[in-house]
Amino acid sequence: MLQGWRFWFGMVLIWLALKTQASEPLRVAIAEPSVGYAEYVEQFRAALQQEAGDSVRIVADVANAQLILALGDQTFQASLSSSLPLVGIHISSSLLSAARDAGCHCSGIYREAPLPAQLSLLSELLPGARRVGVLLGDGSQFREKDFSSPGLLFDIRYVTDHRQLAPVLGDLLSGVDVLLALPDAAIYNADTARLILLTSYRQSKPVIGPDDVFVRAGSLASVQPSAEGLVRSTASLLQATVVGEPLPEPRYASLMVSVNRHVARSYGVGDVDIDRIEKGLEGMR
Amino acid sequence: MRFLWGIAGLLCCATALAEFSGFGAPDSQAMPQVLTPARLSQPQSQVPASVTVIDRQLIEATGAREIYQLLQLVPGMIAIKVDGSVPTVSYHSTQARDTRRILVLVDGRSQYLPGLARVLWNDMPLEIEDIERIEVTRGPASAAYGANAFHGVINIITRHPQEMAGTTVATRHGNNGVQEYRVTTAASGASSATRLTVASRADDGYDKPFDGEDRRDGKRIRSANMRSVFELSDHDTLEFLAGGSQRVLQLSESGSDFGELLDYIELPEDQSEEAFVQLVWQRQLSERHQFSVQAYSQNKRTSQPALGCLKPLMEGLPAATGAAFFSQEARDLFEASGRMQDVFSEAVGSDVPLLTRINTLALSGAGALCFKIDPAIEETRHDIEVENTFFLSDAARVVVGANFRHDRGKSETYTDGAVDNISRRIFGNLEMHLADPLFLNVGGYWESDDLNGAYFSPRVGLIYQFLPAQSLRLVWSESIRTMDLYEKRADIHIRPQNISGVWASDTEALLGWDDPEFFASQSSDGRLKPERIRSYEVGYFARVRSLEWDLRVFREELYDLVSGAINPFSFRPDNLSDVDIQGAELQVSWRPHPRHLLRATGSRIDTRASHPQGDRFTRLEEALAADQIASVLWRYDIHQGWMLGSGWYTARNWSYADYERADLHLSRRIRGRYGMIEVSGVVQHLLTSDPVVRRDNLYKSDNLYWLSASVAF
Repeated sequence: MLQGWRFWFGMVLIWLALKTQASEPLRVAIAEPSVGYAEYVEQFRAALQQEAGDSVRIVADVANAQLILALGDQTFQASLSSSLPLVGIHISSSLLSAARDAGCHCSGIYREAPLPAQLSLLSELLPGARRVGVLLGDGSQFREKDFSSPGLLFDIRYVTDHRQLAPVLGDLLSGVDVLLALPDAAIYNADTARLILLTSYRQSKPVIGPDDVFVRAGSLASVQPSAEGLVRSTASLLQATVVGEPLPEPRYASLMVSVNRHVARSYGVGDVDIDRIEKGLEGMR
Repeated sequence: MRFLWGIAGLLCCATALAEFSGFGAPDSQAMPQVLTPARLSQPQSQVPASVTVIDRQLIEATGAREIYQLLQLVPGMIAIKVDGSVPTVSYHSTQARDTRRILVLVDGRSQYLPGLARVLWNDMPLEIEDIERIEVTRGPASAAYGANAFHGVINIITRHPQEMAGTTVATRHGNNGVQEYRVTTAASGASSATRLTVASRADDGYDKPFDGEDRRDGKRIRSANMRSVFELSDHDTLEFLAGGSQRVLQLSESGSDFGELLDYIELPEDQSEEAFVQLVWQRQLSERHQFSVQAYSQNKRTSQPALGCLKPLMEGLPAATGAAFFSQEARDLFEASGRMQDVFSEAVGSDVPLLTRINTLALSGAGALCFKIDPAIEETRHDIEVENTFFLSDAARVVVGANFRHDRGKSETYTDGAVDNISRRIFGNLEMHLADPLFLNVGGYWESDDLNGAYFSPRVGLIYQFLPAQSLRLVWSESIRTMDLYEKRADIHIRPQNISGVWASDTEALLGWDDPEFFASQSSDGRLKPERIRSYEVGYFARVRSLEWDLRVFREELYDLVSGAINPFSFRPDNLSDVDIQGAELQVSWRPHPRHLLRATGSRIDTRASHPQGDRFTRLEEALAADQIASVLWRYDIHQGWMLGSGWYTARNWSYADYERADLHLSRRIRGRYGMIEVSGVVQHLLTSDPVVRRDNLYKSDNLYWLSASVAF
């Protein structure tokens, strides 16, 4: 009888403890960003706090945190040595995948759009394009086997030495209708933008991707995670996190489409209904 | 949700996140805006002209080994070797040697020669493998390019050196004496790139003997060209281009002006040497303002040297009598005949001084007069042009510019010395989005040169773009062809060189003058006016998925045309020929499958020439006109680098005959770790037995074939 009373008393204490833990907000610290980006991180922090509500408390001191958020690949990489669970925001999938393979206690929100989303945008804007050129490098998320789509033929070239980029690109573009630029910081960056975009324009071959920064530089259009979607997906991932248990699986954020209207006009692409395309992309996360 | 950042903030954050992920830029401004509005061109659906683009996909599919052959893919265009091994490329062809009514540019540098108004396709220091793209504007284009873009513009754009790497060694051999060698090398640095090509080409031309005489029609060409690009900054690009060529064309005895008069010691050849240098500076002043300066100089010398001895006037007469053609008396009679050959021929038998001279020569015992003859002309051009592209508003873009050019033709034979011509030009073009879906394009080119005076060439195009990639266009335009240095300042004197023996020591006694010349001499009165064309066009451009077509219905009025002969024997040009051309043409591109590309063109053209003196002149202006011209090209990219190209070309009722040809091209490209190997074979099969334009333009075989191999490393 006494033993039965002790059992039930213990169960009540456990229940009370669990209830208390569940109602406590998840304490999250945002990793120190690169110099000059504190303002943006602060904006992200405020937006995340508002989206996540009481379920998340963003703390300044890592010592008080149960989980670390890292914005961007560099910060994510620098934070991998931490003993706390790590969630990367706007992380390249190849980096996240490598870190998870290495056994990290980490998850994240991808910086890329899923391949079907970029292909959907390509077909929407350039319905006549049949031959699609792709450059892949060491930092690419995709491999040759990932490319298959009815009605499209992919011409895939590897660039592992940046000195080969110009001739490989020139040769590739001459045989395709469009260049599908997929995020790879080694291939698509501020130093190569001029080369890539001028070469494509000289050969009258539009570029789709890799992100809105490139679109402003002269790429025709791109699909990428929206900032609002990143915040929402981060909040959702954190709300699904249970301390002491494995982190939820990595995920794509909701997507946005950006179009360079000057480039679109030059290639004879008419007015683009961005809302309609984005709506069509909703199921592709 | 009350985000602090709102839409603008979201973009800021996304950009910042891009930085976090390793873009390496200190902020979003580090990503340059590369394709600025000023740099971007109009979409084809808004261009106020019919444009045909031949890109590398098509170039490779044809298997063509000479540049002019690529123009057979352009609707309404004739591209064929008319004058032996000399190609003629002309749009809505009129005269058989009609290389003068179209402008050809290579990287913006005119190939139109100012001295004798012609484009010599064989001599361009450019190999087909170095071409990125050819853009052909069909129809008058002087409003954008100035004089001599009379019936259109062929704009050849070479490959950018940055897009090439390493060295390619290539060779090509086939029947018809085809022998070609090419080495191309390219190198790039952090902000510069250079491409250099040296090559040689040779073939036998039309090779079937005609009238029992072997056809001497072969050619040998050696060329070199280079292009260097320097990225001076994010906003400045400087290009340096240079090149040159040497060419030798064989000429048969009957094909020479002196074929019937001379026993050749060295058979005649048509030789050419040319060189050019070019600088282009382009600056992006802002995203809506671009400025460029281009300057080039080019020099070309063409000659037709021959060594021979004059035949006697008649069989049985002493050899020296042939020298009468170079006597003072023959010249006097020719002048007295009003420089008309038929009048001269009738008077020869009764002209006492000339008969006396012939008698003197017959009794002189001097033997045949032997000499070298070398009709030559050196044509030089210096050209500088500035161009400004900017936006007046979101809906209006303007291109304005100015050009200054100095042409010089120097020839002892054709102009008796040097003739200079300086021209000044200003031009402008306004593209305006009037209101959806109407676009207006207004342009004009004013030019004034010392020989032709001042002229203005306008163009107005109205485009109704009823769907994003479909438009109707109405275009009215006028163009001119200015008279060349020869037409304006011809002063023909054919002087024998290297006379030896008694002919040199006693010239006056034997020929009647110290400085003998051929009896026939002509000169221009300088009164010829520019040729003119007025064109009305209705066009329909459309792109539906992978199917694209362009339909052009046109009427072209050519007037003030110069049709008469302009050679030493007969020089009676006038501005009295008119030609009326009406018709329609269609070009279709279709990629039904990623591995298949189809290109088809067709034209139906009605050409009617008129001249007060009737048939002789009208036949001349209709000599190269074809009723129907068509082409079909199919490219099939098989697998693993195999490619099959197949073409069919025809011209019906063309120069009073038909032309039809089928081509087959098979190639294999093998990429390896250290480079690429490519091998290919081409067969061109003539389906018609008619000679090509002229009776003696015949091949020994109906099949021309060649095999090519290249190694890139």
